[in-house]
Amino acid sequence: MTGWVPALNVLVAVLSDSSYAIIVGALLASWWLSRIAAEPGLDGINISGLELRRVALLFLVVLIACHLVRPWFVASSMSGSTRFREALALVPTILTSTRQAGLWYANSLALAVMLGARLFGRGRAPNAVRWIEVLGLCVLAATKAASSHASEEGDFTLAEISQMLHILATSVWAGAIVVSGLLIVPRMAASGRIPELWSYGSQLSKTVTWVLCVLVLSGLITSWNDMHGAITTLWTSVWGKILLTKLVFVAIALLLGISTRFRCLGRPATSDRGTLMIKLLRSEAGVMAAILCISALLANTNPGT
Amino acid sequence: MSLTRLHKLDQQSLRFALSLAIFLTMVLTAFAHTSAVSMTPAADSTVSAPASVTLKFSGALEPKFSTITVTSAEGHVVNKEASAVGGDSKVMTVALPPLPPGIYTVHWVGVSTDTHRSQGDYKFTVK
Repeated sequence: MTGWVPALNVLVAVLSDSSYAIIVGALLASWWLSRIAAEPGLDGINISGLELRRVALLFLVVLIACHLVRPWFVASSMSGSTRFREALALVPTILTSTRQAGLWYANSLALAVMLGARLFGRGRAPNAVRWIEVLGLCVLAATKAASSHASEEGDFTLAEISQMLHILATSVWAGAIVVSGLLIVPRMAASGRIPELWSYGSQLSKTVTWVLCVLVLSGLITSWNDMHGAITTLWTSVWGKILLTKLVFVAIALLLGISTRFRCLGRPATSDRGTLMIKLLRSEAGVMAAILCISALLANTNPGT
Repeated sequence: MSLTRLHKLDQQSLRFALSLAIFLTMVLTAFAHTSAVSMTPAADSTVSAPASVTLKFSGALEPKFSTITVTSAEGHVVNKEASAVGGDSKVMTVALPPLPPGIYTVHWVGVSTDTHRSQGDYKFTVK
C-alpha cells in the first residue's frame, strides 16, 4: 500500500489501541479508588468518579468508531488497493468470506454489550457493569490476538493465548499509567490527599510489577514461537529501526517507573515527593502514549521492509 | 547492609532483570512474516512439464485474496484455472495444462490471516 491509506491506517490503530488502553486504565483506576474509599482512615476520592466514567464512555465511542471503519482497512490491506471505492466493494467479501469476519462480529457484540452496560447499567449494578466490561475487554483482546500473526498455527494455541495476555498486559501498563498520570494523581495531589496518593501509587506500582511479569512471560513464549533468527532485520530495515525506537521508549518508561517506585513510594509520603511523583508519572504517561503510537506504526509495517 | 536496604536492592535487581528480559523479548518477537517457504517446482529448477505449481507458506492463507499465476516467457498467463488453497490452509496450488519447453514465471500473492499481504515471483524451466 502506498499514499495516505497506510498513514490513516496507523492513525486509526493508534486511536483504537489508545482508547482500549484508556478504558482499561479507567476501569482499574475506579477499582483502586473504591478500595481506597473502603480503607479505614483514608478519604474516598469521589471527585474523579464521574470524570472517569465520562472518559471511559468517550473512549469507548472512539473504539467503536475505529471498529466500524476497520473492515475497509482490512479490505485495502488484503487487496493491496488504496482506492476508496475498490476497497469498499470488497468489504462484503471481508465480512462474509474471511477469518476476519467472525472476529469482527464477535468484537461488535462485545462492544455493543459494553456500551449498553455503560449507558444503562451504571446506576443499577456497578459491580455487574464492571465485570461485563472486564469480560468485554478480554473478548476484544482475544479477537485482536486471533487476528494477529499469532493465530497462524490455529486458534486457542499457546502462541495465541500468549499474544492475548501480551495485549492485555500492555494495555494495563499503558492505560493505568496514562489515566493515573494525567487524571487521578494530579487531582489527588492538588487536593492535598497525600496518604491517599501513596495508597493509590502503591496499588498502581504493584499492578504494574505483576503486569511486567506477564509481559516478560508472554513475550518469551511468543518469541519462542515466532523467531526465525533474522536478527539483522533489526538494523537493516525500516521496521527494525521503528522497533529499536520503541525499545528506547520502553526503557525510558521503565526507568521512570523505577524512579517513581524508589524515589517516591519507597519513602515516607510528603507533598514534595507527591509533586515529584506527578512529574514522573506525567512523563511516563507521555512516554507510554508515544509507545502506543510507535506500536501501531510497527504493527502496520511489513517486517521485511 | 540492613535488611531493608537488601530488600530494596533485590527489588531493583528484579526490576532490572524484568527490564532486560522485556527488551530482549521485544527484540526477538515479531520477526514472523508469512511468505512462501517451499515451491514445487523449485525456483530456478529445470523439470519435466509439471501438472501443477504448489507453494507452501509459513502461515495460514486467506483463500479469497491469495493467488498464483504462471506466465510464459512472452508474458502470457498459462494457467487456465484459478489457484486454490487446499485442506492445509498453508498450501496453495494451481493446476497447469501441458506446458511446452521454455522458461516460466510464477507470480504469487499470499495474504495471511492477519491481513498482511506478501508477494513474489520466481522462474522455472520446462525441458
